[in-house]
Amino acid sequence: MAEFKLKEEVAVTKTTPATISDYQDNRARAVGYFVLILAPTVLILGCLWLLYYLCSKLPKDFTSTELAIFIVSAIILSILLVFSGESLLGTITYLGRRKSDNKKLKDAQMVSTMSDDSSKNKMNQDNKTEGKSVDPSDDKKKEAERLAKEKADKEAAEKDRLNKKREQAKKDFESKISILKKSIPGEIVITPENESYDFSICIKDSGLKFIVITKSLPLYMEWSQDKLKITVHDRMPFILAKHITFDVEISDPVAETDSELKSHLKTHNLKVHLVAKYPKQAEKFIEWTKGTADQVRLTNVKQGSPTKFNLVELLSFDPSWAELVGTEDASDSLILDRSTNILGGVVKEPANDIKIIAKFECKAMPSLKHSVTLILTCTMDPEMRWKQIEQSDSDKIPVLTESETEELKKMSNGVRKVPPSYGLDEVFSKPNRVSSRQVKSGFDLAYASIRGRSHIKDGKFREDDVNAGFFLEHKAVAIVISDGAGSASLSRRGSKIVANLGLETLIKSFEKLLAEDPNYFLNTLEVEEMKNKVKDIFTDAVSNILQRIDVESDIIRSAKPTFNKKDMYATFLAAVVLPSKNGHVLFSYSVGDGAIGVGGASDDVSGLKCVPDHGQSAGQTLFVQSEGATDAIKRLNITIIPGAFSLILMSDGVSDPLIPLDVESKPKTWHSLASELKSIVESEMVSEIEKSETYQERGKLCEWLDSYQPGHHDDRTIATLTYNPSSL
Amino acid sequence: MTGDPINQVRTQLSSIIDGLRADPQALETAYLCLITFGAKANVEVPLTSLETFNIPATLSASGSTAMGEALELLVATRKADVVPKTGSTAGDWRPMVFLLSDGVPTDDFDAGIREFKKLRWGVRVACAVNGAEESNLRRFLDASDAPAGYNDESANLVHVSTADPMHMQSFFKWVSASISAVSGSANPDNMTSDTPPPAPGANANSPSVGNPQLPPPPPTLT
Repeated sequence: MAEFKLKEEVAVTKTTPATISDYQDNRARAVGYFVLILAPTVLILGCLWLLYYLCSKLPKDFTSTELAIFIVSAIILSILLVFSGESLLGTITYLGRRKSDNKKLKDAQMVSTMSDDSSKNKMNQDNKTEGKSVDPSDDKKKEAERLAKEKADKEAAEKDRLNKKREQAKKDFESKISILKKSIPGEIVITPENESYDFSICIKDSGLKFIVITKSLPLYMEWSQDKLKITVHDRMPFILAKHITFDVEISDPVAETDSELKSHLKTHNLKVHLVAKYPKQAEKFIEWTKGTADQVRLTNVKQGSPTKFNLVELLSFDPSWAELVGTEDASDSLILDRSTNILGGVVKEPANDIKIIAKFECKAMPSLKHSVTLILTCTMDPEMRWKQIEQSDSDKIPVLTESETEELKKMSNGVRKVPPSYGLDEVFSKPNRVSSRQVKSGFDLAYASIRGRSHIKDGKFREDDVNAGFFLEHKAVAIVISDGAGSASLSRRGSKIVANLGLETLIKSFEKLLAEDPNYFLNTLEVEEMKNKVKDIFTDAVSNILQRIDVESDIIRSAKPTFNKKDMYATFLAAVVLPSKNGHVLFSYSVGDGAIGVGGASDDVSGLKCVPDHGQSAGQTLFVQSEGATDAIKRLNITIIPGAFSLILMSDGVSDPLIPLDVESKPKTWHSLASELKSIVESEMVSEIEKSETYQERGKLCEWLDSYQPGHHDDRTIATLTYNPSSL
Repeated sequence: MTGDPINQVRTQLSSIIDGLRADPQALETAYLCLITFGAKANVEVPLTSLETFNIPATLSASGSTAMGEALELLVATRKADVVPKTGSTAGDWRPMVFLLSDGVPTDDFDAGIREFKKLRWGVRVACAVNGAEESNLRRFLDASDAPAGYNDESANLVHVSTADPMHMQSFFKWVSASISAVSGSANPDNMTSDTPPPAPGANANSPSVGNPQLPPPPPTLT
């Protein structure tokens, strides 16, 4: 408190006018005061008297010059009067203030004395001395002034001492900083071998405090204040940044312990530079890691198929700076060849999103690592799946629900009342695979029909059908195959009607024609004439089929009111071979897709023997119920074939995967097909009646039909008729 | 469509893909194209075989509803990628189209629908998500303004709510079953307009008309 008040006093003193503070002692000060009061008083009185004197003479006998002198004098006197008055007032005011200041000072000294005995005694002594010779109030004033002066002197000395101390401390601090600066390199180089810098060596002896402003550090650098060490925390961004600058705050620990220096010794800010000196490969490696996604999806692979992924191409890395050190694959299916960077192998089971971690190291700096997750989906191998389905389910009976069975029973009961039933059972079933081979009169007639894998998979019936037979004492042959539409619920019945009734009608009609004119085909080679003669036979066959379908549909409708003849959609492919004047004559007729062709004969008679009804999109075709099915002009095809030949009829299940559309009309296509089928047919057992086969004990023709073609799993039916005169 | 609904669609699509991949017939024959439409229509995945198809990690259909542009893009994609009957191949089947939207077209929908109806498609299914306005979806299904012979019998309008995951799941299950059924069909569509056989029990509103293999949508969706 005392100190504070004294300081306040110093401040007051400083504001006192300079002219007054020049007086050195009390006596001199008294004389000064006297002069300052007396002189203006005398001046005022003098001026007043002069004014009075001048006024008393006015305006009796003044000349104009005298009047002017009078006025000027009056003005000067007035000015003197004003200044004197002001001076007097100023002096009086100052003295008044001085008195109160002295009183304050004395009070302050009194307080100070209470805590300072020696000072108190001295003051008492002084009081006594002064008391003897001067007025007590003057003494007090003087004593206060003396004390104030003493205090000021003391303060000045202290100030001087402090200044010197501070100057010294500042000099010391600056010299320490200069030493420290010299010991810290202008650029601190960070290398892969040493990814930190230890400041403790340069700081230890400096006697300074060193604090890194962590705010100025990038996140990838770490500062330890305890160890005085800066460390690369995440080297990749550091290498990319190449250099960083951060701030350090340096302070003198002396300032912290010495309150006199604390506010004076300010901290020093220093900028420190770190430079990343890493191999070029490391930079490339890091740039690559930045540009590569963490997860990369590989193209899907097929179960069981050998797979190869060139990871250099896929992940765009260069083995000169990135080394693929290994892969981690939870499925253990693909193996990395480190010499070629090829990930290869066979994924045995289908799986979604298999994660394979590819691990990389920088070539020149193995501690620099990176990994990429490769995502791989393995899809099922459809061929494998189809073959499983085929093996396990080929001989299974199609699946029907109880209600479906009930409904079919009612439907079939109705149909059975209008024979012929064509092998009708309760659910309109048919064997899953059938075959037949008959060899007669130089003809080798064989056919086979199998349920497609898609129907096996779905537990559905075979929808194709086939029938063939000899007539005219085995000198003539008729063949009909039919493909029931997959979209029609009872197409299996439709195709059965087509195959059986179609064949029956054709044979009957030709027998009738030949009964009327047995040598007709032996006498004529006129194709157009023949066409006119037989076209009605084919249109009648179609009409008969349609009529039968209508009859059955009507009957079925009584059991199932929504039934429509379109539910028995089926195609119609028919061929009739008769002996002719020159070898044989072939009548072929088609409604819908599939194909009829001849091979094994001369090129001018070999080739496609029908106009298949392919739609603009796959799966589109015509059926025997379609408009135009009886257009014999368009659909009937007549070929006279001298000598040996092979006639082949097939449903689209066979022709679609087997015969590209652009070569289906070419004789060569049919020659090679005929030759392929010849040996297969010849291995078939000859039998008078159609055989029903099992998958395990299937004949060669059925086995041939089972051949796998991706995406083609429809029912397949084929019929071949080979004529070889030399076998007669 | 943003946020949760589009994420749900992605999840469900993902399970459709998984389901279809378990079907060897679909795996060998089905191709998928994924188009999203928000402020703009975008071919997320061009027509790709099921074997190689992968759903993008994220789907985006935010902003407005460029449904018209999406249909035009669909038509362009079909023209570019769907193989018609050529000299040597039978060509691809007519594409099935599933249109899902929770919005109202904000672009020139008429232009899109005009382009769309110039071609003949297989099954068309419109799905109003979360009570979306139906009139435009009905126009997508409607064949009255389409060229003669346009088959609208295989068109369905269904409703799903993303608020109910089971609902969503049943829709996508049905979609999956429909794709499977059609890809397994020997005759998914027919050459002439009068040829498709009506399904048992079919009437004008029946979803299965013209495509008996297409299972009827679950009753909760209709």
